[in-house]
Amino acid sequence: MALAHDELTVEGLTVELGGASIVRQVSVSLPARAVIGVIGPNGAGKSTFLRSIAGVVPVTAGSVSWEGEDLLRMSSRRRARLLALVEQNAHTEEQLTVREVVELGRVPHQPVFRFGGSTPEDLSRVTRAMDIAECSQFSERRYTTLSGGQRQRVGLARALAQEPRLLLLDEPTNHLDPHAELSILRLLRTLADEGTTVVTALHDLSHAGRVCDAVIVLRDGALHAAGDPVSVLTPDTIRRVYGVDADVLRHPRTSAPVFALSLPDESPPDECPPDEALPEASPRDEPLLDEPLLDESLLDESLPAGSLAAGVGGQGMRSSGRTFVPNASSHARWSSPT
Amino acid sequence: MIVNGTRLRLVNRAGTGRIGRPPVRGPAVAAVVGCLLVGALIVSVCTAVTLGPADITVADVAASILSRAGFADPGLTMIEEGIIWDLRMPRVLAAALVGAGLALCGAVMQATTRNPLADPYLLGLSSGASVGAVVVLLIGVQTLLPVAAFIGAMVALLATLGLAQLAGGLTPARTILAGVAVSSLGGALTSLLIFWHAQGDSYRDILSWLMGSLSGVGWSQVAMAAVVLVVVGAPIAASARLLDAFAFGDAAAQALGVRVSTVRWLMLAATAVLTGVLVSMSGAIGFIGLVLPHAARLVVGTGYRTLLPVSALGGAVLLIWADTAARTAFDPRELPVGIVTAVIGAPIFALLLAGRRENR
Repeated sequence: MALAHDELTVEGLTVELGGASIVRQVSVSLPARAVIGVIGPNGAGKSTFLRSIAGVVPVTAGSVSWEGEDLLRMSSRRRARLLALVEQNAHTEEQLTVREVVELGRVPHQPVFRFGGSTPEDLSRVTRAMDIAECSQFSERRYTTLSGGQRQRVGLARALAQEPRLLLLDEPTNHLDPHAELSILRLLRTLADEGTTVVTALHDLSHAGRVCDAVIVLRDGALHAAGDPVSVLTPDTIRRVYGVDADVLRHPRTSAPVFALSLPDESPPDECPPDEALPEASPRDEPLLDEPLLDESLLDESLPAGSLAAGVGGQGMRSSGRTFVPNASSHARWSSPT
Repeated sequence: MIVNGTRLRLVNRAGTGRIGRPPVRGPAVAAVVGCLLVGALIVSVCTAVTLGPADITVADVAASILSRAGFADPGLTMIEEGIIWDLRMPRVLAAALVGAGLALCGAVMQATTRNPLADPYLLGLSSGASVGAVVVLLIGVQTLLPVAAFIGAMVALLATLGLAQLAGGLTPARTILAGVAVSSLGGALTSLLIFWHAQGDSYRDILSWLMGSLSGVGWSQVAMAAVVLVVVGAPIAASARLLDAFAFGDAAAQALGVRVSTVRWLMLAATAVLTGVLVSMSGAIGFIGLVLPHAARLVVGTGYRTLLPVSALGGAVLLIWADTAARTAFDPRELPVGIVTAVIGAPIFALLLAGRRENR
C-alpha cells in the first residue's frame, strides 16, 4: 500500500522469534517528514516491527529501505546515524546522570577509538536535544531517580542527540499524565514538521487521530490497513481489529477525530442517562468506599478478545451504561443494568 | 477529595522522584583525581621500595634512580643497589602492573556482561590461567607460559559463560555461581598437578598459584606485563565509549551502532589475554578487579573514559601496598598477597551483594 512521498519502504517484512511469526509479510511505503502511527492490539507485533526496522531484532525475510538504500544491510553504525529508536521501559543499573544518558546518543557519531572527552559539537548537540525534549532542568539528576514521564523525555533526548532523520518510538506516551502525553505528541508533530520522519507505536486511537499524518494497522503481525487516520480508523476497522465499537467524534478545539469506544454488549447511552444513573454522594457512603472507582481487573490486558482493549479501557466508561451503585454489602461495585 | 462518592488520594507529583545526590564528576574532577593518583603511584613505588628488612631510605632510592639516569653519584653499596634494583623494584612494579591490569579487566567485564559482580577472579579466569601456567611449567616449556595462561583463562571464561547460559541466562547471580564452579575446578586441577609432580614441599607453590604471590618476579616478566598492559589496555581505553553504550543493554547498544556480540567477545578475549599474562606472573589474586571499578565509580562516575584509567591507577596503588603488607607484615614469613586483597575485598563483595538484594 503506497502512501505519498515514499521514503521508508518495507517489503515482505517477516520476523520469527522462537518459532513464532511476530511480523508477517508486511509491505508498506511510508511518507517522509510525517508522523506515522503504528496501531494494533497487544501482541500485534508493533514493537517488533519497529525494532526490526532499527536492526535490533533479526529479520527472517523481507527488506527495509530508506531512500532506496537497504537499511538491514547497512553497517549498524551508519544506521545509528540515520535512525534512532526510543524503546519502552529503558532500564539501566549504572548510576548515569541524565546528561550522560543523552550523551550516549553521540556514540554513533564519535570515532570508535579516541582518547579524550566529547567534542564541543557533541556537547552542543546534547544540550540542544535536552532543550527540545524538555529535560534540561533535571540534566544533572541520576537517571534511576526519575519518574516514568521524565525517563520518556530522556529517552527521546538521547534519540534526538543521534540527529536521526528517522525516529522510531515504541509507545512514547505510555505511563504519562495527560499534560505530558499531549506535550510529547506535540513535540513529535514539531519534529516531523521540521523534517524528521517519525514512526510511533500508539495505543490511544484519539492520539493517533490527533497527531498522525498516516497510520498503519497491524493485526496478528500482518498489515491490516494503512492510510490517513480518518479513512483508516473507521468504526468497521476498529471493530475488526480491537473488537470494540467506536463512535468517531470531532475534537471541539482541534477538529481531530476522537474515538469513543465501548464494548459491543454495552447498551446505548440513551437508555441510561449517565447523570441520573450516578447516585449522589452521601456522607454515609464515604468511609465504606475502600475500593477504587475503576476496578483494575476490568482493564486486564490478558482478557480475551472482545473485552476491553488496553489503553482504551478508560474511555467512554461513564456513558457506557455501567452505573456505580453501592450494593447491599455496602461495597462499591460495578454493575450493568440489564 | 471526594468524587462520585469515592475518596481519591491526592498524589504528590513533586514527591515522585527522589532527588539523586548531585554526583561529583566532570572532566575537572577526573583530571584532579587522575593527577592525585599518578602522584600517589610515584610516591607508593618510591616508598614501597624502602620498606623491608634492609634499611633503605627514600633519599637512597631517589639518589639511585638519579644515578641510573646519569645525573648523580649513587653513594650506595652494591648490596643496597642490588636490593633496590634486583629484588624490590621489579616486585613493586610488578604489583603496580598486575593491580592496574586486573582493575582494568574487572571494569571491562562488568560493562560487557552488565554484571556488577564480574571480575577475573570470581568468573574463574584467574584460576583457569593458573592451570594453564602450571601445566606449561611442569612440562618445562617456560617460553609458552603467557600463551598457556591465556588459553587457560579463555577456556575458563567460555566455561563460565556457557555454564551460566545453560542454567538459563547470563544473570549476575548465575554467572557468579558458574564462576565459583569453574574456579573451584581450576583450583583443584592446579593443586593436583603441583601435588602430583613436586618433590618435597609443594604447599608453598600451590598456595602461591591459588592465592597469588609476587615473590621472585624478575625484570623480564615486568617488561612483558608492561608491554601487554599497554598493547591490550590502550585500545580498550580508547574505545571506552563502546562500554558506555552497554549501559541500557544489548538492544540499546545495538541501536547506537555498536556491534554488540563482536565488541563483547573482543573485549572479553582481551581481558583473558591480560589476565593470562598477569596471572602467569603473580598467580590468582582476587578482588582487585571487583573492588577498584566500584570505588572509582563512586568518585568519578560511570563514564568508562575516565573510569578505566582511574580504576587502573587505583589498582596499581592498592596492589603495591597490599603486596608490601604481604611481604613485611609477618617478616620474615611472607603472606600470599591474595590473602591481603581478600581481607579488603571480601567485605566489599558482601556489601555489593547485599545492595543488589535491596534493589530487587
